[in-house]
Amino acid sequence: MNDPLHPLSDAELLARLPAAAALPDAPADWQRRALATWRAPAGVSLAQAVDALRQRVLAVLSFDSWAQSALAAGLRSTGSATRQLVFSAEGRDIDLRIAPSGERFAVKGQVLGPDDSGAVALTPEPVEATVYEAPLDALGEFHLADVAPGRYRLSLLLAGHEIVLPPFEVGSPSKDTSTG
Amino acid sequence: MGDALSKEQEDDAALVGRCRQGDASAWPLLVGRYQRLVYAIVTRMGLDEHVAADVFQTVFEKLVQHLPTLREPERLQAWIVTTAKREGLAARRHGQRQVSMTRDDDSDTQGHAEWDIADDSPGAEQRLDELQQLHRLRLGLDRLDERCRELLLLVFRDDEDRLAYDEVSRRLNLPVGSIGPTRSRCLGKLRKLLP
Repeated sequence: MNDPLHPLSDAELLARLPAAAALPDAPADWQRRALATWRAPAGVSLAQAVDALRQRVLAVLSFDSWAQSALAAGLRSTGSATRQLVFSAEGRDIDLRIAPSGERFAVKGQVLGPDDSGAVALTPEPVEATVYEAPLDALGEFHLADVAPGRYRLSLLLAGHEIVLPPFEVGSPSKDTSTG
Repeated sequence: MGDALSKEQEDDAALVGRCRQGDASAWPLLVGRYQRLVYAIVTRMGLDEHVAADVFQTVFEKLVQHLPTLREPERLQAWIVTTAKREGLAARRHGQRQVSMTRDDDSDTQGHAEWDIADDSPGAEQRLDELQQLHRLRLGLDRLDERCRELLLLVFRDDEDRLAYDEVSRRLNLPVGSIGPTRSRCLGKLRKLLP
């Protein structure tokens, strides 16, 4: 059976140069879909995969609905139970909604910006064994259910890099709601 | 094959190893390395454009699934080619609409019948081997420094586009007498960079 990678003579190699140079790339949307198929192999947790990444970027808080509500406290006596936080990094906005769910909380969000696939990891601070993880769906949305109250750091694991949000509190308005 | 093939073996095997450890940054490198070859294969199987896109996607989905269990990571290209052809043939057998691809920018696929690899004939296998050679050559070209790449592509154009050495000399700002020796040196460099 012919080895498809058998050595080429100079003449064979040179004769193929124009055709080789002209080989087209797959359409960009095809390549994006292929990139989006990535998932860490079974047995490798997202936390381990995050550690293996080379480029890590810290996001910046650009909006906190409870900070806005605090400013308006003199005008309104009630605020929404759902807290909205918006962070920005690398040309993306990360829109978080933290809502009570029984005695715990649901953390939902959406990554707005370049069409990347990936996943999120919500890690308690200080670090504990329980890490909440979820993939980003086709719209860049994720949903972490049954999150215990506490202080957390959210990481976005995207192809090639990681975006880390400053720590924030998951809890009710009466608790410390500081971020950063 | 020697050092050049060893380097490619190491690179593919190393990327597979990193993926197995959950290093997400290795995946885009694998996709980037093989997207052109997979595209070339799926667009030569007489598939409707949407079906070809699905087959393209399936190949990479299967690669992600099988990364932990690939027995010979150094022969990743052979695995990818076999998978692409198998999935393309399966798509044809499942009665997908067979319409010739007519992408305007697909300039190297004029005359699809000539390139059809949608069967198991010896001719189809030969065309598949040829695609792999072109892909291998392209990987080498992409790794070559810009000056050498430019010279080789100017000097070794198709017959109807061939340039006189005077014109090559002018475009590259290189003495005519230096073109031959430089061409040989660049060809040697390219050979060393071939996977």
